[in-house]
Amino acid sequence: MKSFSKKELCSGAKVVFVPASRFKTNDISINFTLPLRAETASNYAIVPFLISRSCAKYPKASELSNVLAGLYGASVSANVRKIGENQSLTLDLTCLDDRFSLDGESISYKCLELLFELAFRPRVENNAFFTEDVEREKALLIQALYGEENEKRIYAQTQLEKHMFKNEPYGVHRFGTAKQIEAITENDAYNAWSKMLEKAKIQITVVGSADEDKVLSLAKKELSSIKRSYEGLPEAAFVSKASDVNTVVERQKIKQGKLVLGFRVDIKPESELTPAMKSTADIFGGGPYSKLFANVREKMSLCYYCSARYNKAKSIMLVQCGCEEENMDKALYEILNQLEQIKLGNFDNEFNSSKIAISDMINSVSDSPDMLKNWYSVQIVSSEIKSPELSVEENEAVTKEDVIECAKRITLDTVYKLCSEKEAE
Amino acid sequence: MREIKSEILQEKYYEINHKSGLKIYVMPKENYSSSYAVFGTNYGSIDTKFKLEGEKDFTTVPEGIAHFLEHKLFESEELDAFEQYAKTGASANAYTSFDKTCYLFSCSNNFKDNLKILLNFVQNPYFTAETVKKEQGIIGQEIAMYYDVPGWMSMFNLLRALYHNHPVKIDIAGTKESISKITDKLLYSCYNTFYNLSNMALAVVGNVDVNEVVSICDECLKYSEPIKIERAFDEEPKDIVQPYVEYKLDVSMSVFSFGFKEECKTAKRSLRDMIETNILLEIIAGETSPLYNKLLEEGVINESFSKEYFTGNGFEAVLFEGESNNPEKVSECIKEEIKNLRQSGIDASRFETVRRSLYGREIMEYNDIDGVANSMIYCSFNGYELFDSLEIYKEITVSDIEKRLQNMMKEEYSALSVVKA
Repeated sequence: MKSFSKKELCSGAKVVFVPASRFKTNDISINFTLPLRAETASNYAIVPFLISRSCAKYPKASELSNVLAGLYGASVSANVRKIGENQSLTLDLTCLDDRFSLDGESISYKCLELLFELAFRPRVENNAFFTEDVEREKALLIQALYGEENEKRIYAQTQLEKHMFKNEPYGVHRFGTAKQIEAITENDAYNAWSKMLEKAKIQITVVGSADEDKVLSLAKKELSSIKRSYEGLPEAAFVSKASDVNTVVERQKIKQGKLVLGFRVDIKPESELTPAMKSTADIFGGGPYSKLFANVREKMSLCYYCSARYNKAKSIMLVQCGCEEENMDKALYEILNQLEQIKLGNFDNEFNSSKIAISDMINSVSDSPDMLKNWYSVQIVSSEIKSPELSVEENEAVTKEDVIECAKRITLDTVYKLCSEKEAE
Repeated sequence: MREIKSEILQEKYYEINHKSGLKIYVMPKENYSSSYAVFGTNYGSIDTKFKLEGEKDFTTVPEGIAHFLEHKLFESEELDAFEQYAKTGASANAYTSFDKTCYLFSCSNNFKDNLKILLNFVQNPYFTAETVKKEQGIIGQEIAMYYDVPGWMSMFNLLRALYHNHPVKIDIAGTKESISKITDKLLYSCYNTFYNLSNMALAVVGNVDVNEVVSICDECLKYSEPIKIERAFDEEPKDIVQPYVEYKLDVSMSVFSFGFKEECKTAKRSLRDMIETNILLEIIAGETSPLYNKLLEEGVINESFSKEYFTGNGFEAVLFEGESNNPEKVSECIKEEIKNLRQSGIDASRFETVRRSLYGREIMEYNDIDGVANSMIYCSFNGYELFDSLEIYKEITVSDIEKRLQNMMKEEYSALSVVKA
């Protein structure tokens, strides 16, 4: 069986089917992706939340949640993600597969209809969402933004991004800012919703055993009713090398410090080197076999965690480290030293371990509907869709020389330190 | 070997009482490419006072030792477990909870080798004074990290407000002070007691063959003379410590944990108790409930809101947690709603909707091999049968839930914990 198939719906819109009868569920998502820009980020960010909570047919949140509960605990959630310099707005639905229904009704088709109700027929009036809905979602979105700040690990990363990308769209938070959220009007939200339908790149991803023809004809019918003017997605601003290292220190009432390093990676998203760069980041700071785990954490006990993550779409790598302030310089020195070791080719053991670990991890994607759905839906920004199987092949083909080449293309751009306030000692 | 089938789920698993003394559960999943194994001991952070049957005195050990032991077990005189897994490509981990410690891996290749690694390292401890000292540094960092996690602090502060003596109130990892008392000798003492195979279970789910699992177990498991462990807890009064507790942290929004302490008449709850209480909590504060929707509409809670029936050996509580700019109001509304429901009774159609929803969610759980394997361990240690819950969902009536509501969540045993700036 093929891992997936895709069908074009109209310009910039497609359905991706991932057939999988082994699951008890059908997982369906509708993903709308637009360029991430400071001036529109908040307006767009509120849309998926607004339309996931009610619609013209079920105007109250409690009505909608009762309908979902009656459909054997089906669930709908809204998500906003940053993929490179794009803002990806998603409605995700999970429902029980039809074969478990107690009275023979088609759960998945009803859920699909419901999902389209939410996306295409929201609760609006005179080109505006309702005041109470907008105000509620604004408050929730601001809370979600603040909630993230409570998690110091996420907060530290966001702060690094803010500083490192202050002149690039990537520095924009996926929700925008609290101030911009506060300013959203009922009309703004409506305009953002209709712009989204008109201009976004759209991908419907279906994981499970839902009837493909039925999904396709319903999707075509819905999309034919909207006016589309899709213009494509822009490429992310590409900075091949950092010039100077910029250091930022912030103090808060916290017990444990956070150290985040932002690196530029001289490899474009469509480059053939990206699988090798994935290996490089993994050898550097992926699993327990990685350089950072084995040395900075285990050998030197400088921190509780120390890991590296490569972001292909933005050509960057971030290192995160939870560590006391007095150890930060030592940790920083050692992190950079480990990167040098990779450039020198000292990573034979880590290379083998990383290679099997990455393949293993990609192979297990197909056993989780959620991971499968995410695997395909983040590829909305790519021109070609890759299956997990193909990615395993690419990983297998990575050579040691490729990794050395990638390591040489990594330069440190920004160091962010979150430290505890002196008087809190 | 016993085969257990579920018609509804179209699944089956095998239960094996292995000659080594270990209970083994295997669920092969068709068309899955990966497998997941978890090897667990019925031993967690609350087991700080214990003895073997026949021994005169109880042994008391420092708080956090179960978690410390978990970290140390990965080491050996030669290659540590992570280094071994690095050669086979499994993704491995471990966790310690209040009442269990589990070692696990998932993989899509080299399953046999991975299972051997798992069984071998868990059965072969290697602790020295020197390695214990090094670990004190790493775990000290881990403990410090949690002091900055508002949800974690909020929950443990609530437990400290509800419980006078029960060790559930202590951080699973212990404190910097308590772990400084841990020695290699104490680790061996805990290990020799709780890592006896008769106190453990193995669950394997996914792309596996039951006979293959058994033959690896035959090869790797060392016979354990069955033992009986007695655990002791200091007497826990019925009343709470204090109704309100506050902790300051640089948070931009307050985080709260609100809970009711329940009287724990028996050490363990039945599966039916668990399911009935979960239905009740869903009716009171689930996504379909008027309470949840009202609080959400008013902006007093957000989607981080959750509820939980929190129970284990010698403790039982109901917890409501989340972020709020007005935690007092949330707790007042919850109390009010419980009072109202007690008076008005539970609407039959609401009960049906909630039951159907939880029934569907229960089936969905079987998608994830890790979830199933961990449930098998949980069921094993609590004496439940994995597939029984679906039948129980069908049997429960609205009057069962109403009866439960009359006897639980009494206002005088509730407390609120808030973490705010």
